[in-house]
Amino acid sequence: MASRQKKSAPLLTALLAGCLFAGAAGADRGALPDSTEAAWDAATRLLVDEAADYFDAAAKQGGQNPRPINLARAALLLNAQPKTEGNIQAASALLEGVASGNRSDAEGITARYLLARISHFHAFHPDRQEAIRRYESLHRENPEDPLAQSAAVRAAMLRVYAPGDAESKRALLTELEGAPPLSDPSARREMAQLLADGWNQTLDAPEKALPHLIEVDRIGLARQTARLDLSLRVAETARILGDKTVAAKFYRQFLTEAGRDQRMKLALERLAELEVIP
Amino acid sequence: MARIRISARKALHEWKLYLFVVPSLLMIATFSYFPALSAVYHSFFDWGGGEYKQFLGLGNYRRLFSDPVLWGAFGTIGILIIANIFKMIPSIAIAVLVHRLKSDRWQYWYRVLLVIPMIVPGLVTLFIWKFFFDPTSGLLNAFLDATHLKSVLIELDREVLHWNVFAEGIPIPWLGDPKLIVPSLILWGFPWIGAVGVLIYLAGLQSIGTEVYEAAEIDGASSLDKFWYVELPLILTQVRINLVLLVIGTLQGFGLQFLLLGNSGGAGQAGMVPGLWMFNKAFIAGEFGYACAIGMLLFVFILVLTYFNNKYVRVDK
Amino acid sequence: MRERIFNGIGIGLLVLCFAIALFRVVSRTRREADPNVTTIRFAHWQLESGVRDAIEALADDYEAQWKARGRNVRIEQMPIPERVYPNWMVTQLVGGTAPEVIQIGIGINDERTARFFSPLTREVGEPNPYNDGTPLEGLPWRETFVDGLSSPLSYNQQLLDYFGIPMSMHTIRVFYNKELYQEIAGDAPPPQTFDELLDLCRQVREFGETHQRVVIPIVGSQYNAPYLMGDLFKSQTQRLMLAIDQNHLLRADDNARELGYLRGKWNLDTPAVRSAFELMHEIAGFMQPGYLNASREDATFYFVQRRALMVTTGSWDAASFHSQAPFEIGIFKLPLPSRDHPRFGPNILGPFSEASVGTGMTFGLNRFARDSDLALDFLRYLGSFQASQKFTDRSGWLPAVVGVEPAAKAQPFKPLTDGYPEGFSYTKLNSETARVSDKHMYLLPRPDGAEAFAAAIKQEYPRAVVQDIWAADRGRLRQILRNDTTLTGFDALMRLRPTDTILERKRNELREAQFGVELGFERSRWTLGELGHPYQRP
Repeated sequence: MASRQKKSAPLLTALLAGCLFAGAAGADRGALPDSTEAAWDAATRLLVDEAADYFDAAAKQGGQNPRPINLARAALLLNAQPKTEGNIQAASALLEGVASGNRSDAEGITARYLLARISHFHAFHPDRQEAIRRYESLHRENPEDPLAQSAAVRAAMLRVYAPGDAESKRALLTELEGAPPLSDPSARREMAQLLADGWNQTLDAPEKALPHLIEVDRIGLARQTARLDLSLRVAETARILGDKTVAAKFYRQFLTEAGRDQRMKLALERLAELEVIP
Repeated sequence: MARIRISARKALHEWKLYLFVVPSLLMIATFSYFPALSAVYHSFFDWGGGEYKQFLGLGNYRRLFSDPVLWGAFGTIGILIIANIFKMIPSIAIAVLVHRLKSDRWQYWYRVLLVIPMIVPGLVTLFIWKFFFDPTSGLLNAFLDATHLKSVLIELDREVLHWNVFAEGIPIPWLGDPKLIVPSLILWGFPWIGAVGVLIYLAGLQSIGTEVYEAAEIDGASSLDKFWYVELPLILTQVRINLVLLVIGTLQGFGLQFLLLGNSGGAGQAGMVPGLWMFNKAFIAGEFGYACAIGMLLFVFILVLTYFNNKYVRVDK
Repeated sequence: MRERIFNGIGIGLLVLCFAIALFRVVSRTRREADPNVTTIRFAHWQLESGVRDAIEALADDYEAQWKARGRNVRIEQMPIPERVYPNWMVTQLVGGTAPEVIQIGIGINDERTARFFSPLTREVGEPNPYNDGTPLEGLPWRETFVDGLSSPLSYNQQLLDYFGIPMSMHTIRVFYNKELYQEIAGDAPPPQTFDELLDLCRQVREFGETHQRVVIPIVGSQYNAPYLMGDLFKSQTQRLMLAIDQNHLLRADDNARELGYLRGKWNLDTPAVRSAFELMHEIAGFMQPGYLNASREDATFYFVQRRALMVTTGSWDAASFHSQAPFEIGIFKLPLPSRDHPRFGPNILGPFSEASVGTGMTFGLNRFARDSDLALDFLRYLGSFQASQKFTDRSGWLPAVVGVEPAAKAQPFKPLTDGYPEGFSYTKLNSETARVSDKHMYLLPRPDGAEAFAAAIKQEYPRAVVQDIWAADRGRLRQILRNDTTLTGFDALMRLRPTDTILERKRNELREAQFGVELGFERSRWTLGELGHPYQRP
């Protein structure tokens, strides 16, 4: 017995060393989430691999509705590292499967939206025309869904920033302005931002951009830095266009909200130059 | 020497003994092979050093071949390799001179004197040289001014070089002018007597028996003849080893350039070498994947040079 | 016999060193293992003079407070050199041996922040109990910091949570040798205008020639020169910045600056830019030859060795200078040309506002800390009014907490917020333009420096700008791709927790940010295409 223990000691030592090495190699990974909520929480904190492990395990286990699990797996595959064409194709296949189950429930809409995003951004060879088609089809079939409305904005963005002459840009932006307003506030705000940006960047038409910037302010922005930038954008645009009232209002709005900002003195001077009595 | 074949059964008879090698193998695998294999793997990705990486296939390698900075850096390294080959000569000369000393005691003391500077870390030596090169308070400019050698350089510049880098009353910016950077890198380490090299050559020379020298003297060989026909051929193995190490070290190395010139290779990027460009791409531009591809290219260069060295730089015993 | 003695000495030395090392390790381990003592380890890279002592004083105070409450607490400070800090920290985090409180800012990315650091969003929204009895009592902890914890080190804009508590902030100033100044300029006050600065530099030159001494007017280095050169350039591009600011943000927006160059709104021949090169050339001529090769330490060496009158650096170096220099040090803000300067004034709006200077020396909480409650308590203490006052008094660094009066030696560094937005910098759009400009900076001090420099970078600059825009767009694209998964996660969580307002806020903020990035990406892509530089994906 003693001699057998003696003989096996080097083997055990080597095995131990090997296990330690293998253990160290995997040390960066956290614990597996223990619920769907925990898994999604991990996904929102960029812990994609941990979240993916949970959903892959859930898929293997079976017994649950596969659609939400496959949707989760696909969304996580889009950012699994390393990023490979195989992963993107696998995600597409899963999303097609989810969408084919029901095109218009929450999972179906999300799946179709992500398929459009794959064509737009994730694919190794993006197909922007295909992305437009998918976005617009999603919105057409689900006009009231917030995510579908967000898709409509993306389709519009792709059209606005596609190659084209000034006339076609003008026609497109005018058409977008005339479209029925989106019901979801976030999507409506995004559309207003897009229209403002489009008029400004592609046609250098601040007079057309201004109403949309004001609309963005009316709907509201969540981040303070974005709100401050927007206030100044409106104020400056209005000032350049000669609309002193609007300019003064937004300079004051900026000055009220900005605690410590290097642009305050300049904004104060601009406001003083306007000589507008409130 | 005839090859002895050992059967697998015999080799594995005391298999437990191999387990004693396992910890060392694991360490080498972890700290030497794993990083190298990781570099090969990552050279095929767009990788920012974090967790995000996108497979690019040969994208990084295609980019390598149209990178003007990289190929310029190889040009610089070519000059430095040739210069370094010439810089081997003082070490060989010193080794021969020390070896020929009749007194064993003096040989010992010269060896000690050569070894003592090795205590100083290489980094400190680099910083001291940086100070030497300092235009305002460096020793090199002070020496040139005191010995009036600067006026010789000014004349040389005016008549021959036409570089416009040496001028009366203006400190010479050794590391601050593109035309002077490569000469400064070559000058670095003067008088180029590397203790390790000298000791290696000395060890080689000491294996030469006295009867060889006696035979040479009988044949009427002069001191120079003894060097060319006796000493040099018999230390050629050491010279070859040093040459290989020197070429590899020069190709790979960038510490000298980094410390003396900064990560951008100095004024006009004149001191940019492939290793420094690799460092720049990784840690300044954040393009780790591309940096790995540069590393792979360097690896191939070194492999090819080593192959030619082994094949063609033969030593006739 | 002699050989035995020598061998014995050698072995004895070896044994002695081993014994000392063993004793230190064992005693430290024993301290840590003592169940009656709770140790909080605290790692940072601020090795500057005065800071470690200040932190030690805070640690002593904190330990004393807990001792009075009947608990043995020990704070162990772990100062790590900056150069190795990123590698050390990552190794510690991955290995599970990281300290409880860790300085963040270098070597950390969003994934590691999410994995290894505790979000402090809830905590910063509540009052800090250590502020009781001070003017900040009752205020949410976040609002007690000068920047409202808006700096990227404190608030992670990708993870949408607060992760860091700052202790200080820094500004850039010119330090000068008062004794040498007295010798050269007598009782004249330090330069208040740019022309006075140039006159002073000329006086230093004359002084050096007259007294056969090497005295550098302003010492430069790879580290110090960019502060000076950057400000000089930005002063000349203040009005130009407004002219190219297509988004009307009244600041140097990266996208507008880069695309503005490609659209021809500015180039290296634009009068303001040429004027900026000339300004830089003026000052470069007063730096030592080869200054671009000098390191930070070389510049410090020159200054404390009385070979240079002035050096430009951050307030973080003040304490080190005070301790190393055998002379009294004066400090003043770099005087840029004013609006009415005959040569450089037309391009200028006015002095820069330092309102955008954010806080730093930021500390995060290790998610896997052994005693996380106590670690958080220590962080609260460090971010309190009382601790901040003590910190500034002992270290001479600026405080990060509202209402804390900076120590007398920190007063010259107080941010001057009454001013105008800075112009933009041409050199550091991204790594390629930085490389091109660094490559040719050596030309600036030459007699025709401004012209030579502009001519030298003209050839490579356009391509470098395009490459930098591509690099920036690749960064935007990565963010867009990553956020698709994150937003899907938020939507899924909202369905599970529909009344979670914090979750809703985060989702809305991220969605807003995502749209902004997408818009920027598409805009950039379109502009590049219109200008003949179609975006290249890697």
